[in-house]
Amino acid sequence: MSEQPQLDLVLRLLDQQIVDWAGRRCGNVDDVAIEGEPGGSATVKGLLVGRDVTRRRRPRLLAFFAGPTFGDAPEVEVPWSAIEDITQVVKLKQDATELGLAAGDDRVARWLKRIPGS
Amino acid sequence: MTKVFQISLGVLAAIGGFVDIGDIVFNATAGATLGYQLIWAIVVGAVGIMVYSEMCGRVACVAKRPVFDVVRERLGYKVGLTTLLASQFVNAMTCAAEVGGVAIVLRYLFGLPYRPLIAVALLILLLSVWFLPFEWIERVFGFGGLLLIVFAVAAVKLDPNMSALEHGLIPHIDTPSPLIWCYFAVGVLGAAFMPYEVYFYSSGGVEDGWVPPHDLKLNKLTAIAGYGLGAVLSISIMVVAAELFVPQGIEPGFLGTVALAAQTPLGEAGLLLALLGMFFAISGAAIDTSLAGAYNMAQFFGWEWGKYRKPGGAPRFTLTWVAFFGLSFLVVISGVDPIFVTELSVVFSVVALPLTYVPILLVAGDSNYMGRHANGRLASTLGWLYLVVIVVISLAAVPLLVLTNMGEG
Repeated sequence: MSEQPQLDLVLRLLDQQIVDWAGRRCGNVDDVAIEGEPGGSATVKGLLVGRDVTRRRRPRLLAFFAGPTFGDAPEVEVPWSAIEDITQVVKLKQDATELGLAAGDDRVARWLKRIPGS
Repeated sequence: MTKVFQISLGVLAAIGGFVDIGDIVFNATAGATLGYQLIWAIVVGAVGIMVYSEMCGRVACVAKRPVFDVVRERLGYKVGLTTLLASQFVNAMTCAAEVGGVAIVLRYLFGLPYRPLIAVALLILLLSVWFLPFEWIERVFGFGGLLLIVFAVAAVKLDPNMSALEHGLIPHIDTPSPLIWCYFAVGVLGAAFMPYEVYFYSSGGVEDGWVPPHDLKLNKLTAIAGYGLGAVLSISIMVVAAELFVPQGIEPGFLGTVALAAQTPLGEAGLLLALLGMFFAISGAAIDTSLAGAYNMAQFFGWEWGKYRKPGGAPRFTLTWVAFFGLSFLVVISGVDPIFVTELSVVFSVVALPLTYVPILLVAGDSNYMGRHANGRLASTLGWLYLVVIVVISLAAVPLLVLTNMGEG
C-alpha cells in the first residue's frame, strides 16, 4: 500500500461516528491504533475510543469537561476485524455492548426505565 | 396541510430563534429607542440565517451530519471542545431565560405568584418533551408561536409611517448616540444567528429523516418560509413598539409591556393572543435550547441521540436535556431576571458564532462530502459574505456591551 492511501484512511476515520450492527450510535473514533516498526510497514490495528484516549488531544484546562462518561470504559480498542464498513459513519459488525462500547448509555438507561413513558 | 406540517421544523427553529423572550424585549426596546432604524438588521439577519440553515439542512440531508458532528471533525477535538463549552454556556443561559419567560407569561395569564409558576413552567416543558414525539413538538410550539402574528395585525392597524419603514430598510444612523445604534444593530443581527437555531435545525433534519433529492427542496422551503415568518414577526414587534412607545417615551423592559402593545389597537383579544403566542414561542425556544444542548453533547461524544425514539432509547441524550431544564430552574428560581440573562446570552453567543458557522460553510462547500449538492456559487458567495458579517459582530459585541452599559447609555 502506498503512503497516501494510509494517510487518507486516518483522516477519514478520526472523529467519525461509530454505529453498531443495529444502527446504535456508540462512540466516536478518538484515535487510530497503528502497529509496525519504524522503517517497516504499518497496519491499522483498530480504533481507539474513550476518555483516556482523548487526553492527549484536549487542552489541559478543559480536561474536567471532557469526561462525562457515565460509566463508559476509559479506553476501548475496537479491532479492525470488527468493522463492517466505513461510509459517513464507521459501521460495526457486532453489538456495541459486546465490544465494551456505550456502557454509559446502558447504565443511564437502567435508571430511566423506572420512569413512565421511557 | 401535509406540506404546511412539513415546514414545521423551520417554523419552530425560527420562532424559537427570532421571537424568544430576549428577542421580543430586545426588538421592542430597539423599536422604542430607535424607531424604524434597525428594520434592515432584521432583514439582513434573516437572510443570513436562511443561508446557513439551508446549508446545514443540506449537509444533514445529504451527508447525515448534524452541526456538532461537523464541528468536531473539521475543527479537531481541541477547538471542537472549546466550541462545545462556549455553545453549551450560551444554551444554558438562554434556556434559563426562556424557562423564566414561560413563568412570566403564565403569571400574566393566570395572575398567580411568579416563583411557583417557575415550577409549573418546568413541569410543562419536561412533560412536553418527554411525552410528545418530535413532529408534535414542532407543530404545537412552532405553529402555536405563530399566534404572534397578532403583532403583524396590530402593526397594520396602527397604520405605520410607510416611508419611514421603507427608509428603515437602508442602514442609517439618526440618533445622537451612534454607539447605542451599533449596540442594538449588533444585538438584532446576533439574535438572528443564535447558534442553537442551527444546532436544532440540522439535528431536526436528521430526526425528520430527510433524504435527497426530495427533501433538499423541503429544506430550502423550510429555511426560507420559517425564518421569513420569524423575520415578519420581529419586524412587526419593532414597528408596533416604534408606533406606540416612541411618542410616549416608554422603555418596554417587560414582556407584559410588549404584550400591551397588541392590546392598544386590538383590545383584550389582542392581548390574550399576544400572551398565548408568547407562551408557545418562548416554550418553543426553551425546548430548542435544551434539545440543542443535548444534541451537541451527544454528537460531540458520540452518544446515541434523537427525539425520534423514546427517552430510554437515547439515555444520555435524555439525561442532558432534562439536566438543561433542571439547571435552568435553579438559575431562575434564584431570582435572576430572565430578560437580563437572555440579553447577555445574545451578546455572548456572538463570540461563539464563527466557531459554529465556519465548519458548516467548509463542509457544505466540500464536494467530497456533498457531491453535486456542494455549495454553488450563490451559496458560497453569500456564505463567505455572511461569515465576514458574523466575525465583525463577534468582535464588536462585548466592547459595545461595555461601552453602552447594555444599551442603557
